[in-house]
Amino acid sequence: MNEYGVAVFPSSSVAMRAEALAQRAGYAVRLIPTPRDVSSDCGVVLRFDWAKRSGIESLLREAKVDVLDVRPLRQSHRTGGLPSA
Amino acid sequence: MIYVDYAATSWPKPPCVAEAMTDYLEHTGGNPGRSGHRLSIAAARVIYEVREEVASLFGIADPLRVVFTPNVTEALNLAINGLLDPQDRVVTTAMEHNSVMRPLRALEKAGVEVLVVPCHPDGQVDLEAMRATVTHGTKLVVVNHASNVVGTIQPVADIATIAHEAGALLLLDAAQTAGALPIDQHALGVDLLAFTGHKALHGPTGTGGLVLGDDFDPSLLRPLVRGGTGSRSEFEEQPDNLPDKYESGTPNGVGIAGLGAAIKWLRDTGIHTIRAQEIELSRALIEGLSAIPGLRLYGPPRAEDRTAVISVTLEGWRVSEVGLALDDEYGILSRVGLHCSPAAHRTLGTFPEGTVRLSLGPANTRSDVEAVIAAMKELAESR
Repeated sequence: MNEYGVAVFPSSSVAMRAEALAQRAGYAVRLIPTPRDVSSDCGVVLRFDWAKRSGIESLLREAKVDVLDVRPLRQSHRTGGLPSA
Repeated sequence: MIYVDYAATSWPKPPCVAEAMTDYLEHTGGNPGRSGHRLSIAAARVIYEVREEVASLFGIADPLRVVFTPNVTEALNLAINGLLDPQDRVVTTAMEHNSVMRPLRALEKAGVEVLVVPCHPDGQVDLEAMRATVTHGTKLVVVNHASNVVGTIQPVADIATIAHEAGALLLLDAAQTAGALPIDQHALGVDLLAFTGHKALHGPTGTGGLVLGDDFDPSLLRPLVRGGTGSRSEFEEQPDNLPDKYESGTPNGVGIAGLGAAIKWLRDTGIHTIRAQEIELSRALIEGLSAIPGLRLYGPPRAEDRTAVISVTLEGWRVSEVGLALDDEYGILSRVGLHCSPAAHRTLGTFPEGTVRLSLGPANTRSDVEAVIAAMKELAESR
């Protein structure tokens, strides 16, 4: 089973920008509802394959995307997969 | 019917606008940025993509610096009220719309110093007077990119240089020019640009925004409206991040979807192509109207120096009577009166009667222009 990570942003608009940038760079990512143990925000986080962490982090850093947190996703239930890139 | 009221709103809209709006209502319409399900994400994605379109249109690198508002008036109010404090000095011109003058006059009562730079009779700002007025300590310069009354295009880059040399910010009212003229916000030196979606961008009403330049510091700008953003919900204070700081409440997703389709249409058609056609038609209209005895034209004589907005008065006629006769007898839809711009009409010498405004757009043809000229000629000869 893939291990997932999530990137947390200050707003869903920022998450949309991160999703667009990651998809254009060829990463398989998916926006999912913010897990309650990650943040009390409503809205979404960007889920990705944890093995791609450094690539995604540097992509977002170069584009000056405001990232609040990047962490592995603790899964208590099945949460679907990632769309193909 | 001949529609020559594009400066009020463009009509008809490209068919793709209604299609995108219908598609949004039928297939997309969750509440963007609030919930995490597919329809909410789809709605947020549509809005984000339109931010990218707008940012690209004005040469902005970060799409999150595009703040959507219900119209250009609210964008101007956000910028003016959000930047200025009592004792600050703001400089504007004698060609402004009331969407600039009214918020400024209200702030003047609260202790903001408001200085109005005179303009030449064709509407061009007096740059020497601007230079003399924008002294150090001026916080903001507000300029109408092109007049909604006579189309006069202001030398924005020169005004930006004057503003920045004095340490002031430049707010551009692009109500008449966004979509009508190519605009590179950085090349022009514009810190804040207010636009509407429903005029030359050819989108629906209820859309517009304020575009923050990539170098503008958002900590200088207070929000106009505070409330729910779907983000930072644990805090009762407004978030600082863009665009949420300035976008409270559920956005006009359906309108923004239409705006996105309109901007794509504009890009495919070409701003330069439409501009060239409008210059050609404006030139023909100016030439034809100039030959009518008793008709007076206002604004720059050259079509290149104005957007496709032509204002006239007719000797012996009230402008309201001309407007009614054009509509009733010729099916020509114009706009008469003061056009919410008393300052501009004072500059032009047409206050308080106003003018008959004929404003052209992409759907107008040479035969429309000839029909307008023929109608005005008949009206002139009938008195």
